[in-house]
Formats: sequence, C-alpha cells, structure tokens
Amino acid sequence: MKMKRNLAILVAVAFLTSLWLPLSIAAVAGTAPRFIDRQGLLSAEQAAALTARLDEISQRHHFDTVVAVVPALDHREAHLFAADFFEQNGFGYGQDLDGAILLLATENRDFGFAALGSGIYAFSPAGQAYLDRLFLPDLKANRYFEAFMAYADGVDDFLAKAEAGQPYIAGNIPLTAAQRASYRLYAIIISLVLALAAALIVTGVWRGKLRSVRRDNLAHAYIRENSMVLTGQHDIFLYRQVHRVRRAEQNHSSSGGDSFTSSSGHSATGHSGKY
Amino acid sequence: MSLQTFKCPQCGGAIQFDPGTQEMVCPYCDSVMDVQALQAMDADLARDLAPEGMAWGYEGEAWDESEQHGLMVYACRSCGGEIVSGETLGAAACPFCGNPVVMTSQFSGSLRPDAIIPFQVSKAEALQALQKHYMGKRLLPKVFQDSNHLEEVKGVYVPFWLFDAEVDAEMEYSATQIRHWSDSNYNYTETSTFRIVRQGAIGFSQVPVDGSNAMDDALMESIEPFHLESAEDFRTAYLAGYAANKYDVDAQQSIERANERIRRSTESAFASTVAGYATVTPQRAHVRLKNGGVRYALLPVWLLSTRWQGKPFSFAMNGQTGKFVGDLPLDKAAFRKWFAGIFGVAAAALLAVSMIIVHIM
Repeated sequence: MKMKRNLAILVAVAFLTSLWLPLSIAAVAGTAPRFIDRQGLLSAEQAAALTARLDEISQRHHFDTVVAVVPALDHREAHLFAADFFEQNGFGYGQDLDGAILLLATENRDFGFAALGSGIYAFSPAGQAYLDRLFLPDLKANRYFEAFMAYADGVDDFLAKAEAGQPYIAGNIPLTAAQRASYRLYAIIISLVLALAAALIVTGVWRGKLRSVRRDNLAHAYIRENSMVLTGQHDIFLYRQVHRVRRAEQNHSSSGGDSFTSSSGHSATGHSGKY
Repeated sequence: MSLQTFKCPQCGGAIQFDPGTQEMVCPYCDSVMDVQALQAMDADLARDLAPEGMAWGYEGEAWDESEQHGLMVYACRSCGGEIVSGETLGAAACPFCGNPVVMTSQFSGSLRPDAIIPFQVSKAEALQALQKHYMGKRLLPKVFQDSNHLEEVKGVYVPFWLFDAEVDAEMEYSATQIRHWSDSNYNYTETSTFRIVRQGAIGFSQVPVDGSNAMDDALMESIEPFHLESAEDFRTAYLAGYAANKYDVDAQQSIERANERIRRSTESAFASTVAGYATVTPQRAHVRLKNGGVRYALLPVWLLSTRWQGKPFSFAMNGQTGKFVGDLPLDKAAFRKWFAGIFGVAAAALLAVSMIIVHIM
C-alpha cells in the first residue's frame, strides 16, 4: 500500500516536473526553437547544428538569435512581418525583447531582418547592409545552411562588437571576403597599369633625351623687345547655357534599415529584401 | 677666280681667326694681328698675280661640260695647288698646304654678306661639348661613345637670310568659362561663351632662315637662337681657318619659312593675352606683315659628323652661344632592360602598397 502511494507520488512529481521543465525553458529561451523551418529547407542534421549554434549565441549574449522560414508573407513588408513573428513566438530577452530574427518567405524569395531591444544599438543601418553581404551570396545561391550559419556568425560578431562599445557603424565596416577579393583584383590591375605607365613615361623621357634636332616653328627669340602693343582688347559676353543632371540616388537592393515599432509597440530596427 | 689667303707678315705662315681672342693669330710664330688692321691688307692681297708660265707638256683631260657644271677651280696662292670645289664654297683650307683660303669672289658685289657673327667658341670647346652631349643619356649605346670616331669637325660660316618685319594682327577667339554647383536634386554646369578680340602690333628683328641647301634646316633651327645684335660688319678675315658657303637658297625662297615662323609666333603671343577662360579656341587670325627687310649674314656653326654601324650621325653647335644638338642612336637592349626593370620594381612596390591598403580596409 505504502509502495503504491510512493509510486503515485513519484508519478505526480514526474508529471509536475514534465509540466514545469518546458515552462522554465520557455522562460529562458522562448517558446519555440530558434530555427523554425516550415518549408523544410534544411536536413535534420543541419537544422540541429544550426539550432545549437543559435542557442549557444543567444545564451552567451542574452540575445535571442532566430532564423525562420515561412511559405509566404501577408500584406506586410518582410522585416515588419519578421518583428511580429519574433514577438508572437515568445522570443526576446528581458523587457525590451532583446533579439534578432532573419525571416525567409520562399514564395517570392523575400527576406526580412529585424532586431529588437539592444539589437537597435548593435545593428545600425550601415551594419545591417554589412550583415546582408555576409549571408546573401549563399542565400541567393540556395546554400541555405551556409547562409544561416554565416548569419549566425555575423550576429555573434555584431553582438561582441556592441558589447565592446564599438558597434558596426558607417566608417568601421570591415570588408567581406568577396569584397576583399575583388579589391585585391582591382589593386593588381591598377598596380600593373600604373607600373606600365611609369615604365613608359620614364623610358619615354630618356628616349626623348636622345633627340635634340627639331624644327622651331616659332620666332619668339626674335621678337623685338617691348614691340608688342595691344590697340584693341575686347572680351564680349555672348550667351550662357545651364545644363543640369539629376543627382544619383542611393540605390538600395533592400528597404528599411531605420527604426520602427512592432505591432505590440516595441522599438525595432530592420530591413527587407529579395534573395 | 679670286682667292685670298692670310699669311703672317712676320713668318709667312698661314694665320687664322682665333675665337678666344677675337684676333688673327699665327700658329707658327705666335704673332697676333688685329682684324681691322688686316682688313687693310685685304686690298693688296686681292691683286691678281700674273700666271707663271710653266709648261710640263702634260695635256690632261679637260672637264667635260657636265662635270664642269657646279665646279669651281682655284689656284692656292700659297703653294699653287689647284683647289676644286663646289660653286657655293666660300672659304676652306688648301688640301695641299693646309693654308686657309677665302674665295673672295664668292662674297663680292651683291653676294657680299651684310653681317657676320665671328666664332666665339673654339674647336676644342666643340669637342668637349660633344662629350658632354653623350653624358646623362642612359639609353645611348655605351659602345657608341667608346667606338665611334669623329669623321670630321669643321667650323662653317653658314649663309642665313635675316628677316625684319612689323606685324599688324587681329585675332578672334571663342572662349568659355565654366561654373559648377549643386542642389539636393541636381548638379548644374553653367557654360558662358565669350567672343574675344585682340588687335595690335608686334615687331620681329632678324629672324634667321638657313640659306644653304647643304645644311639640314632642322639642324640649323635647333641651334638657334643667334644673338644678332652682336653681329659685325662682314670682313673676309673672319673666314680664315673656317669653311664658308655662299647662299644657294635666295631670299625670295626663304621668305615663306620666315613668314610661317613670324605668323605662328604672332598668333602665340596674342593668344597668351587671353587669360581666365576654361577653353580658348581660335576663330580667325589676320596677320599682316609690313616694312619687311632682309639682310644676308654668315653665322658660325661647328659641324661634327661620325658614323656608327654604317649610319651617319651629324651634330651641330652654335658657334656663338655653344648650344649643341644632334640625334643619338637608341640602345634597344638597354631600353628593354630598363623598361622591364622599371615596370617590375614599380609593379612590386605598388602591389605591396595596395595589398597593405586592402588588408587594413
């Protein structure tokens, strides 16, 4: 009898524990996994690896780092949709819901990025453009796992910089590997062209020193001193033409990047684009 | 044909004009004579000597008519040797005794030059100038300096026509001023167009034009300018020791070149008075020459010639100012080596710097 009662207590404790554990996890890390894939873009192993990486970053920085894939957007822009998706799934640390989300809508290949709370400080508009350059090339090539991992690594780097008091802003944005490679190519081409010009100019000057016989088509040396007299000197204005060209506008492939307010009233920053 | 030699009154040796002292010098007894004093001797020396009848019984072949054309024959008064020369030669050295001779008939009557600039620089200075001309030229073949041998160095009085002209000019230009500014939407470029008129006069004095076909015109113009204000009245004594030609391009033929140089110089001088514009385009140029005057002068030139790898190279030096010119050969191997070297070093340096810049970006 006593044994039956102990068993009942054990079952009750186990039941209560099973009820409490998800709640406690949700209280720390949100109610949904940090990688939500409703389109099955990643394999189970890739999803697990990505989720582990997102969890690790989130817990280390106390900043929910989320990736979500949905079939389609509603009427909203991708970054507004992403911010609401982030909130509705219970993500966000603290009162300001510190965190960031990258959301893909596969129907029209839209992506949206939103950062809330301390993310507004960590992800400046210039910084978001840099973040795009980190993961968009892979995303456009449908290398989703690589793109999401690059995004996760980027967020980790952004948060570290922000925590050090030096968030990425215009002026301290580093080059991406692709940019660095293209700059190196330009540098090589420009260096070779300049070196060729230098060799041509120097040897051209030296060659010119070998030639000293040339006709003198002027007779300046024989102008009588003070013999030049101007008897008439007229500068007559005729007409004026004004030509105007519209100034080039900044051409963004994505919109947003400035602060906005989510549906629930939380401040956020983000932008949308196509991949 | 009249021929004049200059002999030392002391020892009878051939005397020459010395550019250093500007006097006549006897290289045998070191006597020095004033050019003016020697001028008085010219009259006596000009007297024709009666031919000495000496029959050797040799009847050589006569010049045929075609050979005679363009040839002049003189008898050296020092040794009696026969000097055969081109019809433009005015002074030379006797090939038999080396005495300087002047064919005075080449410079008499209407052919007499109005002025002469005596040599101011010596043959030794001309040779030094040639060595200096080789210096600092990295692409000159080293063997050219070492192995070329001067074939000839001669001081020549080159005939020049000197043109004076007063010029009335009226120039018209189209000029623009350009201003740029921007607002938030547009970049603006304002182009203001002006009509520029310049009228005036300018004078040219003694513009030289080479009067000898034998001289390369480009070579002669390259050693300009000559300072003609220090020209002297012509005296045959100045020719002693130098070669001299009379003109074979007359003043009328030379006018075109003088006009061209005067016109271009006038246009350039008037264009320089148009300032403060982004672009200046000549629209009309009216240049009228008047009060033209022509003088005939002998100007001093050192001519040096050499041959390298079968190709002749000529140099000229202004006998008054010492300006030295002459095209030199190109060492193609050195050119390729230097080109590759400069390109390699510059490319390496620029690549290193650019890679560092990309790295720290």
